[in-house]
Amino acid sequence: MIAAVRYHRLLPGDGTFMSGRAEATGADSIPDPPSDAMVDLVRRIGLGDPTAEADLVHRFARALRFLLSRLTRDGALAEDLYQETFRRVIEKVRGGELREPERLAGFVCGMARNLFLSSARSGTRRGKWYGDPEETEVAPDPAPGQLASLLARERATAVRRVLGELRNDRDREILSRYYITGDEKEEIRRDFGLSDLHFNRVLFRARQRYKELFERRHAAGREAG
Amino acid sequence: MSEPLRAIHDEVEARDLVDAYLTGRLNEAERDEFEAHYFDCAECLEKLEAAEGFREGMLQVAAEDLAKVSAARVGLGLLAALALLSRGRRFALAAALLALIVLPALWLAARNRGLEQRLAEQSASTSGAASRSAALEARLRDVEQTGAAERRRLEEQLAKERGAAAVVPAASPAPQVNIPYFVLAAVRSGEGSREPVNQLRIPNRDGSFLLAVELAIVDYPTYRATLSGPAGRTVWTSGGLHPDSRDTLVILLPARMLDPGLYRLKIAGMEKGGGEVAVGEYPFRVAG
Repeated sequence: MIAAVRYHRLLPGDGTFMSGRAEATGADSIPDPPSDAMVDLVRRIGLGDPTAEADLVHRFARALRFLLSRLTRDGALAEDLYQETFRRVIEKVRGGELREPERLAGFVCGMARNLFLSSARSGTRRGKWYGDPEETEVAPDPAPGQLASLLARERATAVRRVLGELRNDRDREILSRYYITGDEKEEIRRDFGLSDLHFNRVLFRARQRYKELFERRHAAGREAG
Repeated sequence: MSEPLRAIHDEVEARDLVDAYLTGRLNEAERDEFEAHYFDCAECLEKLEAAEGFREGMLQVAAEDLAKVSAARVGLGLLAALALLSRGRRFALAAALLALIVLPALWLAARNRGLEQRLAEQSASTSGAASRSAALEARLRDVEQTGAAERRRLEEQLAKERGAAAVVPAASPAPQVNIPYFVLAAVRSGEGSREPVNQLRIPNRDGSFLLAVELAIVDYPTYRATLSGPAGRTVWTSGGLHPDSRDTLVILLPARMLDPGLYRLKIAGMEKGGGEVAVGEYPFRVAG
């Protein structure tokens, strides 16, 4: 019974949406994706192999959470769509509707995107409020949840530290213009007289340092908890 | 890592597809192809997560800094308002503050004098009676202690009132968290008289909130935003605005600026020649 399965419970650690991190589905745990593996996975799901659904979820859960989190900006809506995406994918694979099994990854993310678009059009989900003005008393609270707020604060703390560690104002200015003002890369490069390589290096260094700090805070939080 | 995957990774690096994807610079086909790739590629997904987290963190830092600046401006505004008062009004304000200090002190002094007088009268009437004198002395000490405690209480109250009066002009620029964020939907022409779908419930009238409008047209170098209130009164307008990488204008407004009622945010594209072209209208109601 597909609808009865809570797919995220199949994941050890139950990853968090807004952080973009998921426990136990780390980089090393997902093997390279030869198309044979995809074909085999699709075949097993089609045969009703009970472990195949878990494998499907394990393989795509983290990326699906990332995509839906970006699309919806709403943890609750993303969670709904996450469940629905896996439900529909399994349903269609079982029904033999996936004609090119080696394109399973594209099928999953395409399904997620379509469900998101349907949700936005219908206005029945909890994301943006498109509802009847006379029913505004049941409109969703636009304020982010506690977890999202906590993660946002942690991200901001890590970013402040990265910015504080930068050796010159120029790099701060570059990051600010690129990420906050939304200036085009070419324009920034021209203004600062930087090569493409140099520009990318500034971004790469900042992101790497951020990643280290953020992961360190998470590790410390887990130990404290 | 398989050869085809390595080739895709090389392209991801060479074209900086991670950033291009996150900032919406890929076309639809490229986007779909990259999504299908990172859905089964842990290395690219890690890069995406780090880049997205950093980008979100940068925006969060910018929002926090903006909130601080906004709060500081409110404080400066109060100081400026004080400076604008006429000399007579400033004297009146100073006199009121002085009265707050002096009146309790005078009252305490008068009360002490009364107590001393009563003590003297009682001492005179009980001269020669040592036990009564001792009792009276004890009572006097009690009265003095009570008076001192009362005085301390009044002085503390006075200090609090003076402190509160001093704090008002310099409202503390505390950072704001969980700033309400509303994404406004545009209306099509002919829907102007309907009740707007954008219904804003602002939980804290002393705080600020964010309005975000996604622009359907991003062909102009800059934009003007005009916010008009009931009866078409212009509440705020500003030009030279640039949408962010998601073609969105995000505006931070103090909640007190908008009383409950109907409002209309108009966005116009500003042409190089100086003309303005309407790009979108976003009616909304601020709920009471």
